[in-house]
Amino acid sequence: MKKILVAEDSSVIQNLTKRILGNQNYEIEAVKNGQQVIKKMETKDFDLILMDINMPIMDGIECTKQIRSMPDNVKSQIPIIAITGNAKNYSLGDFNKMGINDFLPKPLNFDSLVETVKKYLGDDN
Amino acid sequence: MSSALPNKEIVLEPSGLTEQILHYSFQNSHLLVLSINTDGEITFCNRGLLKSLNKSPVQLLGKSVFDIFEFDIDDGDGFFTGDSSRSYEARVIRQSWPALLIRFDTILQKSSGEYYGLTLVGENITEKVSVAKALEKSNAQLKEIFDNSNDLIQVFNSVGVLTFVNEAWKTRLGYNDRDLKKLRLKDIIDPDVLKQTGKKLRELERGILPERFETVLLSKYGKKIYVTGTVNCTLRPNAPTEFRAVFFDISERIRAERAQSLYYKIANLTIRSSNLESLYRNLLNVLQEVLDVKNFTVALKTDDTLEFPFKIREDSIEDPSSDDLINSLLAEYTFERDKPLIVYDDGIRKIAETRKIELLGSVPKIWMGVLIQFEKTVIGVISIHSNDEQQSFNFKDLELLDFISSQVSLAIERKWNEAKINSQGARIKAIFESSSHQIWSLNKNLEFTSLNQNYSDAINQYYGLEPSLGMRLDKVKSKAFKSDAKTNWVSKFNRVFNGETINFQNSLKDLQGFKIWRDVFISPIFLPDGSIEEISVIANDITEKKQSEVALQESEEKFRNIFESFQDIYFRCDLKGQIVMVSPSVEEVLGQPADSLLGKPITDFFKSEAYDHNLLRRLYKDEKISNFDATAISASGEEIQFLCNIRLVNQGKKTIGIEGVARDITQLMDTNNELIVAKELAERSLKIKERFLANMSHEIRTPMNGIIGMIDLVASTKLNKEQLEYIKTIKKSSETLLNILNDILDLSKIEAGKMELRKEPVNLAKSIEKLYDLYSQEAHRNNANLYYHIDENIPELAMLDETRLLQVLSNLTSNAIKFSDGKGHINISVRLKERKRNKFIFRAAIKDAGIGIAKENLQRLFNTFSQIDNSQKKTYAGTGLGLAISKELVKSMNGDIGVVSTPGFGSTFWFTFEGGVVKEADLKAEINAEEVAITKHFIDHKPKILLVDDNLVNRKVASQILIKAGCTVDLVDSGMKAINKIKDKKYDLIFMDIQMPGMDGIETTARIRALGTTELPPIVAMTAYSMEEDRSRFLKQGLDDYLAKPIKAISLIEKVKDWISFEAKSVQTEILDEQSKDLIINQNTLNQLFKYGGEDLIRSVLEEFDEETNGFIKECKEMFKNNDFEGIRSHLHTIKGNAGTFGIERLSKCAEQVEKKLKEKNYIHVKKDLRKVERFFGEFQKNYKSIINS
Repeated sequence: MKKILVAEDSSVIQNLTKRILGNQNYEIEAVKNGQQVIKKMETKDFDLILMDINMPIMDGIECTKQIRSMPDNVKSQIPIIAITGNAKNYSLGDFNKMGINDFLPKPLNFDSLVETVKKYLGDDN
Repeated sequence: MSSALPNKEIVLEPSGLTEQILHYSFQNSHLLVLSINTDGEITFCNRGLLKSLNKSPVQLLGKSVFDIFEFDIDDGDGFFTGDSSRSYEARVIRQSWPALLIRFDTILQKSSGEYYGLTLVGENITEKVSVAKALEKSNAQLKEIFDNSNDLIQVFNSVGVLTFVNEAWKTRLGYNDRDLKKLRLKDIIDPDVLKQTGKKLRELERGILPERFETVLLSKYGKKIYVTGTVNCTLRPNAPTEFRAVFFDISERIRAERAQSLYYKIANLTIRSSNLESLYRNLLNVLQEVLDVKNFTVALKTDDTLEFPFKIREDSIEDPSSDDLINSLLAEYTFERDKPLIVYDDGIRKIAETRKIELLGSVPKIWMGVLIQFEKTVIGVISIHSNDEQQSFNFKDLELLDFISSQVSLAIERKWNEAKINSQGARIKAIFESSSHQIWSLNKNLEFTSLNQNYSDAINQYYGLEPSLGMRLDKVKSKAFKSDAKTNWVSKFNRVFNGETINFQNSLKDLQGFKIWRDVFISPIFLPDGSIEEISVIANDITEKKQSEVALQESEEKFRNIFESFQDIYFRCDLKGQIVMVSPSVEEVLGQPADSLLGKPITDFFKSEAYDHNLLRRLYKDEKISNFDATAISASGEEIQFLCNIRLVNQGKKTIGIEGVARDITQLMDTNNELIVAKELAERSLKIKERFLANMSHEIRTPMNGIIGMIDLVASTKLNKEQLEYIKTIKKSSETLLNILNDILDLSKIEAGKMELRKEPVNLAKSIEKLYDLYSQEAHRNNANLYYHIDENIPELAMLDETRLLQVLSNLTSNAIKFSDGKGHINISVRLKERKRNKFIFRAAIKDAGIGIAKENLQRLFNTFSQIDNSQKKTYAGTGLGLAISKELVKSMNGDIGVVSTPGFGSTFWFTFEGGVVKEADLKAEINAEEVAITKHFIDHKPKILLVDDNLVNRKVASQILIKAGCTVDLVDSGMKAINKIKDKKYDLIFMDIQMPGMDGIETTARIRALGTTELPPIVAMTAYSMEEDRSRFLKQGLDDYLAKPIKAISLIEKVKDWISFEAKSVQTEILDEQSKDLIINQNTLNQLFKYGGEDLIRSVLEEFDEETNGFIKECKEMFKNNDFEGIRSHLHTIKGNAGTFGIERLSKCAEQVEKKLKEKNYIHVKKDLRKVERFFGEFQKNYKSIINS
């Protein structure tokens, strides 16, 4: 079972992604900010991160930066999909430059959430 | 053995006298006597000795005795040891056969205290010894005889130790020598007879000899051996008494005797046992009394397989499956052999081997099976087997078993016969009970001796009482059973008791006053001696038949009445055409009395152009001819027009005549002709009206397009507030007008039968989502909430005309919104009503909580041009055509439409419609249509657009909009010109009007394609609303896309942007659109969520959102106190995103606006803004619960 780490400030979105992706047979863990992401990754490997950009303590952009500079090649290459309420202000190119592979604008579209995750993790779960 | 003479010491004086006397006395004795002196020399021998030795005295006297005899002592010294009690045995030396053996007693001779001689007195014992030897020999022979004897011989003592048993005993009881050492009497006597046997033995000791000694021995394997024989005993002082028993095995005889009684028992059992199962068990019990049966099996053959209805295993079996296998193997074997079988363990192994069956585990020592036969056919096998020893059963037992099997067969046969008899009895009973007849019998006292249920029921119905056996009919007390009826019955019974059989019909009035008719048969029951003790009565209720007879009489009378007062002419003629019957009415019409026509040929006065052979042929073929015209000549010579119906009159299979009715239609014809003229006129005028309407609508629509287009353009110019208000009003009015036009057009099209459904695979759920998108905002503007529910059974796809379906749904939904009077919910639901082989029947309902419709208005509702409240002031806009159109459309979808309503509480409009099952071919067609995908063009210049439209206004509107949006536009007014333009110039997009005089848009497009120009721009059809359903046709005919007229600025620009990637200059028309597009909760969004987790997911995320947002708002208020605007902004950002995700649009929009303000550091009215957010949140809270609960 592929493992997804959800970094999301709002427990509503945490649970929503947990339930929708859980139903698609992914194993989901959720944390509340970037710092917790880094900590979690020290002890466990994931196949994908859903990263809210706007988080307290450490935001998604800073968190991504730190992940990409991790010495462990496997960890540093993990696909990161951003979730953002400010999608209008960025293009995919901007995100790519930050080290983010893809993004999902808020309001979240459930279909594209599932599709995008499947794009990176495959459908053979 | 004691000696003949006692050894004595005789004191003899050597005087010689005494010795002489002694010698003399012995001289003639038959004893053998000799004397010796102390040196052993023979001093005397008597005659007997000499004779025995065949010697003379000279040969013996003076000789040493030891030379003559060989003594059983070592030397002669022993003679004089003073032991006078000794005797000696001596053999004569060198004596020929038979050797002489003498036993001597001695007499010592003493003189003056000195021994001087010895006299030996002997006896010839040669013979005695040989007898003893013979005896010894015969003892050994006897033992051999014992051992070879079949008798069971045992020697035992009163302590119970067995000292001897013969071989036969060992074999029979199964013990070996080692066992014997430990064996005691009590071990080998059957415990049941042990006490009795002990008693007998004690009696024996006391000398009471029984005639026979009978007891029961027990073998090593516990098998009983019945014995009889003799026992004698030897009493020995100071030692246990010894018993010698010679037994004779009588087990077989006992068994035979037992078997005898057994056979009786078994035969009895067969009769007594109530079912086969208990019979088997009883048989086994009996069998066990005589045989040591631990394993008993009954196998019966049913349908070629052996089944085991009864099986008893009292052995502990190691392996039941192996036991079963062996049993079915042997039963099958016996069955096939068709002979009883007795087989031992090695035999069983052999059978298994030949049948190639591997036997694991142990095999019975002996197995015995017999056949069960039924009506000369073998139907099964009964078997017993023993795992202990082969001797458990023998051939005698086979006989017994065979007898048992014959009894089983008998039992089976008896059961079968019983069943047969039962069923026969049941049949007779069934006949007695089941017929519809009432049956009863009476004895001479008129007491019931039998009666069936029908009679009982009938009497109950007639008289209100239950007849019972023994009750006297003449004593029956009931209001309905009158005394004269009683007397009547009794007199009838008496006649029958006198031997008569009578039949009559009897009527009575039951308790309810209904008249009942019965057909009654009473017969005497003759006993063999001819006497009559009872009579039987059978009655049948013929009330209905009677009634119909009466009815027939009545109807005949009625018919006569009708016949006589008939207006038309009824006639009947025979096959020759001669009139045999004619109704009196003929006189009135033709002026001839009916009687005068009888016997005349009908052709004399009935003339029909059709009345020829052809007509008759048709009549014979079809048996009747309806509505043909005929002419008759009246008495006054007048021609009268008739309309005739004739048919053949059949009696049984034979045709006996022709009958018919003729109606004078002279007047009717006249009226009819007038009517036809009137109708044609009316139809003509209706058609004119329709055409007029259609034409007018079309004609009006063209300028309407101009008006609407221009309104958009005007709105894009700078206007002051007042002007904007006016423009808004114009736009609204023009749109209403357009809707009316469209309705009229639809209706005229429908009425002209020109409306055809275009069915495509449609996702019904998506259609409802579309409907929701179309009307949710309008509903909201009317303070109503729109909900929808799509039944789970709805198929994913069905063949439907989505446009027309949406038209009906839209009509009903917009009505519901209109009439819901700004309150409550509107629920749209679709469910699958029925699934047939190749089609679905759906039912849609739109329920509002509005003003409702009064009952008297419901009828008119679906009529053309009717709106209910036309008497009152018109608050509700619309032509009132919507429902009429919907009705027609629903009819075309093979459905019904209706409404249920309670004034003041709302209405539910419903309709059903049919959708085809989607076939693969349909899907392929659909995919092809979908494949018309838009490929966007990227250009680096202003889009160059060619607009083809014959209508000047349209050209103007469209071109102005496009130019304002930043395009360059060329205009042409015909297809031909368009082709020429394309030859010259390269365009990015072409808008093509379809309805043009001369060359229409489709043909033009075809010709353009035929030019073969490379990089041909996309061609977008512009079609009027009425042509909307032709969209797919356009696409198939070479057009790339389509745009509906009237042209609206937004849709036109969007269409350009669909095909060409360019930044359009904004055309300000939004101001004309209604505000407040957002919904409290967009159900379509939730619907998306539904597929990922159903209601549960929706409920849980909404509840969580409720909780979290509630917390955020509280925190925001706190942060406001601390002027933490960034904190508030961050929370609002989350609320905005989350609310948006769940389609909580108004809250999301509000949060967004406030967030934006805070981001711009605009901190005025924050408190008020937060309150606004809170209010929208409250609105959500109120709303979502009702969504979840619905």
